Amino acid sequence: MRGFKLLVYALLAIVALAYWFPYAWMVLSSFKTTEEILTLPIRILPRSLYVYNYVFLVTEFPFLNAYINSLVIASLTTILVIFTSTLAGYVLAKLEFKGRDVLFMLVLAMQMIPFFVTIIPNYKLIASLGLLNTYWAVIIPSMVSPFGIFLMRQFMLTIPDDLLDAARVDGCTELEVLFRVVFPLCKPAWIVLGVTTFIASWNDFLWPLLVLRKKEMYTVPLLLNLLGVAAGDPRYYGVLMAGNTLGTIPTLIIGALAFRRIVEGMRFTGLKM
Amino acid sequence: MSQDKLTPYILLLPIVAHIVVFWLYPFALNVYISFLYWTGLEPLYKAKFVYLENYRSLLLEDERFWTALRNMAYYALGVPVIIGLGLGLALLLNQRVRGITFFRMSTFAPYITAGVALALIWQAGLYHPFYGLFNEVLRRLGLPPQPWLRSPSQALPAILIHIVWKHLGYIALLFLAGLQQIPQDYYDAASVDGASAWDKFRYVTLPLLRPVILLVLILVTIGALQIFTEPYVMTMGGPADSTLTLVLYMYFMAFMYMNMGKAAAMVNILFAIIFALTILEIKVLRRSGAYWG
Repeated sequence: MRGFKLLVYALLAIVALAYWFPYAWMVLSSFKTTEEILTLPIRILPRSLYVYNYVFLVTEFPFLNAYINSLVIASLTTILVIFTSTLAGYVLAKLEFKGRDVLFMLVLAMQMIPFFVTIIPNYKLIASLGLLNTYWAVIIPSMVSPFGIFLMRQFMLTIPDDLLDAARVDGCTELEVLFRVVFPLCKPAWIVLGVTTFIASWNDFLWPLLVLRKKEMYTVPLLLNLLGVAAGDPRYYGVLMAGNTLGTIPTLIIGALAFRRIVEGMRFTGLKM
Repeated sequence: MSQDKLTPYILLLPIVAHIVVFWLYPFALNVYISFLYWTGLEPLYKAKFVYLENYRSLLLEDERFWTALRNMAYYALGVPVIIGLGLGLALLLNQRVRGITFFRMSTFAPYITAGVALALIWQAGLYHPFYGLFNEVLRRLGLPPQPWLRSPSQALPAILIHIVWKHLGYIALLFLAGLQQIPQDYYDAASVDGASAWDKFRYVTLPLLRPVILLVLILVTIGALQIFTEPYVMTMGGPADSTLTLVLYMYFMAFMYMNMGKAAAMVNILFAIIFALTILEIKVLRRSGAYWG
């Protein structure tokens, strides 16, 4: 049995190494000078804590700007998705009306339509509305999430109707029922939905690439792509790695903090379909 | 009372409107655009209606389209690999040892990291012929350095390895969630009957995991057919189109060659392929279920 445990740890160590070495290499490279990068054989550790890659990143490229753009877009998208999903989820789970099942089927069907199918018409629509190079070009198409509606509906189904009826008997209006009874219970589902939406929005590439063409409107992935092109010149290699380091930190921290909830959410939505 | 009856509709109206405007209408409009010769610069109503010309030229004349399809078939090779490895990794991550959460999080990290950043770390940091880590390791072992992404024969497998690495942890977590829903009683009962570890895996784990395997299979197939970021960032579909995917070619067709009609036709063909494969997988896995128990 001890031998088995040792084997498990040995395998886990290999897995951890396979998963962390690219990140470690990224951080180490971000502290190297151009000479260190061009010298063979490559030294694994940087000679000193050379911070000028980070300085160049902020002074020569609009990196801080991209950071703010990403923060604004991801935050607004997250808030809107939570709002629309909660509203739709509540109505679809807790209110009785004609056509409810048809509407829910519509949401499920929408989940089946891959994103790329809508790219060309949506690009033309956003362009004709004059929204290119604005935050709204990214936010508006993704402010309703079929996954989010599905998640919130499934979650609302777990809230007993008796609880809502009791509040109504006590004299709560429909809005009060929502704010005093339903919303406080929603917190765990909101964390799952909020974290996954924020991360997906922060990491999104193809759609922002199409609708954000001006450098000052770039999100972090778009700026990293620009740095990647610049890094064809080895002088920018360290700057690229500095950008990657700063650009990947937010989602990794959020993901680590909410890891247990994300896994619970996967069990909740992924497997009960 | 009548106002109460209207409430659900009023609440849902903005959301349904959004679905119609940004999903259903584009979906339909895309079919119409695929029958047009349209550069996207002139208004839609001025575009010339060319019937099935876009489909015909794609399927019969466009070599790059078929190259992209062949590459996609290669990317699809990653599907069984990722499912096999993902299942193995899930069994490992299911062990109850101290610190297991850290290892679960480790494999999950790339899934929540920007694809662009990871692709650049691998392209510039690992696969680079001169200052990449992989060639440094090869040089230290006395082996010849490789061109990796700069070679038409190595670029596609190199990107495939990267993509499997990126998504494996997420797949393993899905399998893990499935594994944890199998009641311990079943394994205990199997032990009483004298089942070996392999028997338990074959006759308890696999059959009970079937719905999860089907779900993962569908997710991975759909994902594999939509690959864009990695070849765009790492190789721009090259060298010599060896890593071109259909979504990447569609992007070039629509936004660089300004041929919206042909790009829309490509989108529809890809959608049809995804749709057909998904149905096929559901049918095959449901049928094979008869043998699994």
